[in-house]
Amino acid sequence: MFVRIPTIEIHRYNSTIDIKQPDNDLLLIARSIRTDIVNGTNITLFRNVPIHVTVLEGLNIRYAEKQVKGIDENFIDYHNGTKIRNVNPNIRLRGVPSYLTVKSFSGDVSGDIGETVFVYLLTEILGMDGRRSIAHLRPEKKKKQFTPDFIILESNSSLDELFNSQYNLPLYAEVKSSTGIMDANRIYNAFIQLQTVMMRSNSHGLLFLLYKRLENRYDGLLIGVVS
Amino acid sequence: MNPIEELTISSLNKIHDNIWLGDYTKIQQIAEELINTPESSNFLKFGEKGIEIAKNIRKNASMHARKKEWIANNISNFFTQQDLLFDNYVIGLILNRVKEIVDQENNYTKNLEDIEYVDFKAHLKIFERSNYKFRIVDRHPKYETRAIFENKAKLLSNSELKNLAESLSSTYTSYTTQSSTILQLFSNDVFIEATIQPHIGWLRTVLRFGDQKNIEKISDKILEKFSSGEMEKKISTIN
Repeated sequence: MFVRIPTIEIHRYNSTIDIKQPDNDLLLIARSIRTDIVNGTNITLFRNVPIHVTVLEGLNIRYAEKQVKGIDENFIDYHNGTKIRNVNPNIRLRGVPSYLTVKSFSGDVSGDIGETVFVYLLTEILGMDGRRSIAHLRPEKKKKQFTPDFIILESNSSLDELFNSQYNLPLYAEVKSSTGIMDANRIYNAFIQLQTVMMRSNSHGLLFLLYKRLENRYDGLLIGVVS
Repeated sequence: MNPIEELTISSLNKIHDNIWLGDYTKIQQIAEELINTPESSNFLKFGEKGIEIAKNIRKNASMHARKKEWIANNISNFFTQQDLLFDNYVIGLILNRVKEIVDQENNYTKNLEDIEYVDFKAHLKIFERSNYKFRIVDRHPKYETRAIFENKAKLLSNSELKNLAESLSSTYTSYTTQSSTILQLFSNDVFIEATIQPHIGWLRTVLRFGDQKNIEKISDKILEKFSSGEMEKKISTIN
């Protein structure tokens, strides 16, 4: 029996970003990363990640911030770019300016997918122990504390590639996801968030971007960040 | 790496797993054990100190136009002045989150999915076994089994999976990742999709005939096979 498993290409950015730079320089870097994403330049394939959606759902329930269930079904629609079309009735009701003829993608579901795919990469592809070494810190962030999205307490030789050396622990990570091309301002914001939490010199961080580029499918990009 | 960091994160994730399962007694026990370790009190103070620093930073930042950038450029001065390491503050914050659980003293409300059940604690029957525990969520004819393994789940070989499928009179397909196994079992009367991750098992079953008793038997058969994995290394904060 042939079963088609959705696959995401996750790339790594070829340069490591030094976060201790003036804000304007970080903004320029963010813009050039966006251009590189569009053109497919300065990035190298890191892993082809087949997504087993039931595992994704298990991770979603335990790791993602929002209460979104059924990501196993949602992921397929979001990955394929399939939008639900509603039938547009013939009679136009007074006072109703437009019909929900085509549903738009939800930012919360998209964010949920981004966080879950990131944990999926760490645990299911790189073999990290999710229980012992990965924690999601969004509850603290929501309480206006200065925390990254994730803290990672495990060394992994595959991730060393991003820094060209062994990285120091703890590794702080930010995740941004989009149902279109990633906006440069969001990349810049992620850098500022990492700059805030990576105050120790010689500390390491990760930025994971999940976005759409070719054929409307998700692509991912891992960016190593140092201070 | 400080053992308290690993213990904190591991305990937090165990708490998440037990919230998912609905074992409220265990949640309380894990939270209390963590909060009662000798190192916790220091880290709780780091967390509280950091919360005050964060308030102060935000107050100062409100006077500047580009607040986020101002915070990123100045936060280290505030932490250095107060002689607080940022990494300790982060662990302290997580411990504060766990302490909130201890302070609730088992006074839990229902999970959203249990809202339809009046006597939800009776509904949340947890089947305790020597190597694992599980709960069945009944949405007849669909059933969900949520399980937590005592030790890391075992990855089964192809022949073991085949034997397991035969014992359930089913054919099967399976996939594995670095950490998980997805097993789908098909027969005339039942479809089972089992997702086995290192510490948890999640079975989704559709029955043609039968009731929750059958699900209990099926769950035991599958979980027992996966449950004899390696012992989890205990994290000790005492060096």
